[in-house]
Amino acid sequence: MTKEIIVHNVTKGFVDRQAGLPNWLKLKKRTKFYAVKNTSFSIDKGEIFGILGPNGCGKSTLIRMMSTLLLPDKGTIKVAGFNMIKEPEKIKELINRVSVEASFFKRLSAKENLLYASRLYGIEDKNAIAKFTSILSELGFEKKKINDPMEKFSRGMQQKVAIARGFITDPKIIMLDEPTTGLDPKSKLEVQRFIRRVYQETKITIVISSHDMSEVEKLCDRIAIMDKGNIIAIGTAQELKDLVASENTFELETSNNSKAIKILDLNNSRIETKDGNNKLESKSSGIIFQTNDVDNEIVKITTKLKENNIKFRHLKKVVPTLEDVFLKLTGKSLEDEDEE
Amino acid sequence: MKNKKMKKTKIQAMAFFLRELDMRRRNIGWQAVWLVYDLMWAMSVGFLGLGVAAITGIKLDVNQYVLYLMIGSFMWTYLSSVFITVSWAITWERWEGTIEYTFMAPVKRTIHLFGNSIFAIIYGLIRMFVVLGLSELIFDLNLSKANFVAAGLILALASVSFIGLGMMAAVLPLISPEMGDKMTMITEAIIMMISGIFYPVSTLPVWMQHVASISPGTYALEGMRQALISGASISELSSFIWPLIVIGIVLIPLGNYVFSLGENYCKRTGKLKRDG
Repeated sequence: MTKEIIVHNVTKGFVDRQAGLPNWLKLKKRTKFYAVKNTSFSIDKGEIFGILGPNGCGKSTLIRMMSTLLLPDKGTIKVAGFNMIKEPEKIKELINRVSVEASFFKRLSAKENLLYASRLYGIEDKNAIAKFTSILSELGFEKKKINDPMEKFSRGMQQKVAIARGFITDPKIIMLDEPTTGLDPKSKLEVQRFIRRVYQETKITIVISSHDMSEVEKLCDRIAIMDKGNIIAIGTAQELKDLVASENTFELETSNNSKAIKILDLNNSRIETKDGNNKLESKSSGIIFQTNDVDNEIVKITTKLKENNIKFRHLKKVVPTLEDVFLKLTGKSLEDEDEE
Repeated sequence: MKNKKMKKTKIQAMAFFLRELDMRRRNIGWQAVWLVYDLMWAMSVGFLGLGVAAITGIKLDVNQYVLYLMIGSFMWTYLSSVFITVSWAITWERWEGTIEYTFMAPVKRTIHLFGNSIFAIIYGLIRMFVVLGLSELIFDLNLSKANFVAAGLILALASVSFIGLGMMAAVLPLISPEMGDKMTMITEAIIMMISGIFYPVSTLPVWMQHVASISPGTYALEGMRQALISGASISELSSFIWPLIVIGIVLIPLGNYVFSLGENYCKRTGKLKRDG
């Protein structure tokens, strides 16, 4: 498989500055923090590659570097065989990007913004209009609003125009930096369906950064998990889950989990609630336990539950989610805001 | 292949021209405000000229003095418009956060700045001629001796220099989102003051005269006055034309180079992002 993007030992740091003052007036000592640390990975041609991590973990910095908008402090990035530092113009011909901030000239209409964006790539107006009309219609954008100023649009509508801007140039590689953040569920689905459809038809290389696990899992062939500037795991969703999967972990649900957890003695097995805090009590979620002898355990459990007038609801093997993977690898939830 | 490349270049340059045009159209109220402001400023300067005899009690050719002042006013309406339009094109992009998209596109910076500059010239000329036409109705300016060909040449050469200055000034909002646009306006004010907008440069302190000698505004303003008031020929204006040519030749590539340095600096420090 041809490598479309190769990131090799890339590090990027920023100087933390006090806003509003010229440097010589700033009393606070300037400090440097590293958004991306010595990171290496590659993306195959025609792959949908996800970068999963919490806010501030370095996803956007990585995407900005691959998009020629940031220069790495150390390391090399090659996109379609071109060196990002030495040959950025060649890369620019091939890529486009949709960022989490749908940045536009707010007083201009969607049409004016999209025509400006397409002209930058040398696309004739008539071709651009045909292309973005089709994309916007597929995304559920109301056609009559095309001439309205962007400032009148909701976040969802602005993001749809941003997605049209990204795809209007027929990029060979597209970077989608949290493309659905802030969208309502319907718009989110429309965007995800659009990305899938374009991918199936064109087999372009797509890089998606997100902190939405289900989106990444649904769309991506492979996923890199990122935390504090480092890629800590990489693989297909199944490969990542296998890292934390346990053959003997089960989830039990009863009519009264709180009571059940107190009366059950699961053969010295570890009992914990679904949130993994090792509390000996359960809310509405099931009781998680581990055992190597599930058949015998079921008999014991059902007997004890019956004795205590607790109804057995179900027992199932626990399949880890990407959240579990992230939690296991970093010790924190994906929803945690990283101060970086 | 060459034709295809030319066509692409043309579309890319037009992207910036048409974007600026769209921005003006969508902010038409502000265009009216600026035009009225330019007009009131020019007329105030004209009335100052008319009133000078009453103020000082000295007898002088008031009409000639008004024309002298008004040329400064018209020229500055035009040159500042060119300078500000080129430099503020970047400020707009910083405000809106679109700069990353513009810089990510495969468009050469020379084409980018050229597209902006062509708009700046046309927009500046329209503003200047509107102000000139309306002022003419009030002040009855005597342009009977004017050499318009020479004046046009001075204006064209001055435009090139001011585009170069605008490119250099455009780097300020690029590298400093917080301070850049303010610094651009200060730069404009300094150029205006040292270039002799309403007075001969010889009235400035000696050290300022040295600074004025490298300002294209100095040659543009004085050359224009001589062309319009005395009807000086192109050869008689050579002492203004040559410095303008030399400054233009230096400033355009220098402006482009400084801008590319600024762009590179932003890509190293992460300053292209909207929040800096």
